[in-house]
Amino acid sequence: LSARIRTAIASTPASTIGTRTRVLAALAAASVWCAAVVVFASRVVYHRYAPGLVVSAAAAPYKVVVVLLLVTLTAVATLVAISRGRRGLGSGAMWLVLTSALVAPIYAALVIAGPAHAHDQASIAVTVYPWAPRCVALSAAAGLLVLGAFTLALRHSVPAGARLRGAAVGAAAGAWAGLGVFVFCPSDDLQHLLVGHVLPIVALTILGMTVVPRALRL
Amino acid sequence: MQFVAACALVLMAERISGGTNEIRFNADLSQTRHAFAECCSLGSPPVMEVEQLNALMRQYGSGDDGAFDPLYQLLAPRLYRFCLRLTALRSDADDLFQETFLRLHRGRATYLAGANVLHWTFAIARSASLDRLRYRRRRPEFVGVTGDVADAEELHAHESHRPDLELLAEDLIRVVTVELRKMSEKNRVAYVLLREEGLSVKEAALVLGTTADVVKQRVHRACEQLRSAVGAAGWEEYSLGKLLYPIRA
Repeated sequence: LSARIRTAIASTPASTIGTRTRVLAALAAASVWCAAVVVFASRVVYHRYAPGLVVSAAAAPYKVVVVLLLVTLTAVATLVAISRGRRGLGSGAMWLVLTSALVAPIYAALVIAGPAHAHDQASIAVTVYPWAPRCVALSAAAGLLVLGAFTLALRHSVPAGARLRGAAVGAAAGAWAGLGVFVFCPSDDLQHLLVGHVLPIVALTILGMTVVPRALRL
Repeated sequence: MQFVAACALVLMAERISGGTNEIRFNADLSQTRHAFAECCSLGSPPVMEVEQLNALMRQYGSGDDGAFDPLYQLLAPRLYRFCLRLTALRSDADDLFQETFLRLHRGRATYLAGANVLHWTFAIARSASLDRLRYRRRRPEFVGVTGDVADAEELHAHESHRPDLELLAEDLIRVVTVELRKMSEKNRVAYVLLREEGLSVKEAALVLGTTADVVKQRVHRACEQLRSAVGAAGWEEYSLGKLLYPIRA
């Protein structure tokens, strides 16, 4: 048996690039790609750089708090999803479950509640559709690439709880997409926010739970 | 197989949160105590061995192929035993063992320096085992040959054993092994990790990718199932203080 194993191993290629390097590369790629997509889409659609952040003076402080909370949510979700833990087996199952289950509701609560979207509509003369095709497209472009980057970074490196980890990676990708679309879109409409901003996060989480585990499993 | 009998005896003294591993059949059969107590001490490997394993894996992970042979020597016995527990047949265990080493090799760069190699490898073995089960999902489940549980070369009787006691032990081994093979995969793996490999509840939870409470629940179910099987096979619980021991009815 040992001879058989040695022979099999000799003919099996093994990557020498560590997980840390791959994760750092994925984070860099995700940041650059999301920023590029948001800037490009904003310029093309709204002819300005961050229309989602254009608000009336009264709503500005609240908007800043919301942006900070969304950045924190994205960072925490990403950390939980890609962390290798102290024992090399990743974050605990409870953290993964909480991340997968709570990112979308927390995002929805932050975005929908309060005067965060009291935009200075007069300065944005572009029609915003209730079914949010532009926001869905931007979320898909940003989220799918982030999901792909994180999946590649963790490929064949998760020996336990791959489904939970996949869901958490999906939720983290959703959080990145949600942050991007929040900066991009100035809409206040509830249906638009639910369909174009929150639903993609749910979709990415489900995608992560169903498709990603196969790639993650060691 | 010795440890199976020991585990069967331990199950009667079941305390999920831990407890003594001291084993007896009953007061009259105390000479078996030493042998089974030895069996039960198979749990965690010595700290030195774990550190050596971690160091070797770190070397291997950084691309040093020369570290494979000593790593294999140290890792193989426990890993193979674990693979035997995950599968019903020895040939399946061989395949799973090989697959686990291949995955370990493929993912060696992803090993986190300082992490317990044994736990990491158990998780890989379990992942490979689940993949095999998924592959065979549409085939009828084969629960193993129920008559060949006591491989002759693995039944090392203690010198002080009497033949009648060996027969009793063999019977207990048979009952427990058959029941372990009938058990659901989740309960069995949780039981094996905690009771045979000596992992803590928290460590087992990480290896299985679930929470500590779920692991406790699975082990409890496994122990209840074993207890029922042992009882149905004619064994009774013998209470001595806070502990329960199996005796032949």
